[in-house]
Amino acid sequence: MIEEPYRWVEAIANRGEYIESQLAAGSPIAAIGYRDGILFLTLGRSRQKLFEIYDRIAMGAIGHPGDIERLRMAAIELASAEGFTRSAADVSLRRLAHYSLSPVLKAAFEQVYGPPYLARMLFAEIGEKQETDLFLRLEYDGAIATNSGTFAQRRQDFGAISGSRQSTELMEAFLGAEHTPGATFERALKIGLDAWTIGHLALGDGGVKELPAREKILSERKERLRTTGLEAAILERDDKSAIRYRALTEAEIRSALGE
Amino acid sequence: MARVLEHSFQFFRRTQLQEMSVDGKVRALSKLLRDNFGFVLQGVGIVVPIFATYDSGADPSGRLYFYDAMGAQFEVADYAATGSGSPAVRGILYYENSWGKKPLARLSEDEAVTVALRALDTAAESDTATGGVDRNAKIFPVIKIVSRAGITTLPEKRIAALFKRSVA
Repeated sequence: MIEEPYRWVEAIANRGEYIESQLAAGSPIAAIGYRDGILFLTLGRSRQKLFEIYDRIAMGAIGHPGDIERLRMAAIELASAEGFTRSAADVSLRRLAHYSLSPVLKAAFEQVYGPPYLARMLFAEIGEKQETDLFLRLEYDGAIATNSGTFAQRRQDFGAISGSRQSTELMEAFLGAEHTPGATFERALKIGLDAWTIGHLALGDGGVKELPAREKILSERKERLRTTGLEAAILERDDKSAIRYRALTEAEIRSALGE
Repeated sequence: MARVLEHSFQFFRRTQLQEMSVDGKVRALSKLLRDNFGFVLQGVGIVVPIFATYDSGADPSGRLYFYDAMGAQFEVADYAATGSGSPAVRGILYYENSWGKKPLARLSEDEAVTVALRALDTAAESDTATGGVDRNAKIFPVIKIVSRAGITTLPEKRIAALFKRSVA
């Protein structure tokens, strides 16, 4: 039955739809490159969503906690093995995603009898300079989108994931218009919060389809910050320590927001 | 050995989302030594390390352990020494700790570095395998400070200044 090509295509389409519906409620995650590093940011109340993968690589993920944990472990194991046998400088996010994670996700997604991974991930790798920062989105079917520029597309200093395609696109449109690479940490934090708010407003069937008005974003942001926990982490460009990842404390975030 | 440990501690911290306990780290080193004991018996290589860490757990303080080649670990309070020149160093540290101007634990960083430099210099005097300080080529020992803030390597300039002032 499923051996017929048409059935297989149909099964894959159904599966894609099912996964999208499972991910639809996922709280957005924004990663913003600023002058001294990369800021990861999300709001939520349930569980940790931002993780350290290796010295210079961080991950944010939405989806099923079990699947996220398996993928996170796989990523850490691969990066650590590479870092141990060669050196930390040889661990690259590009290789990790393209060579190791993407094929696994694709295989699990397309083998109709096995379970797929219910996860959408956002990775970032901090470079020597801001121009070499890499942002990478990895989908449940192994698809990869990066921030690198081509002749048709400008290089972006941010990355975003959200529950739905529409929400992600709105966040990217907003960040593309508002964010400038040389931004300070405080500015990146505010832009990131705004992007999160927009992504959040765009979720669900009744979500906004276009960028909401400034006041709407501000009031929603205020309301959310009051009721929901904020999780943030940074990758620092400062090379005093080999480990660049650091989770931010609530006090740090509040003082940067000027509260 | 240090490389294996560093990677395994980092791996633990990243995957488990918490720092490995001091006891866990002490055992990890002990296991490495035990696994290496076959080589020691074959005469290939013997490693007898000191393990120093800052425990930020319930009772925050510095901790110091020394090992034997089979992997048994012993916690000590004030000082530890290892290597071929260690009998001389141990003698000096014991003397300083018991009858010196003040016990080792109360020394400032500069004073502690001075004592360490003097001890190494003494050991190098009678033991060819201890490096000591090369006065002509100006090669100084590597000194690392383990503290609450992490591990820092002392800059050579500072060691050179202290050496000039109170050893040479």
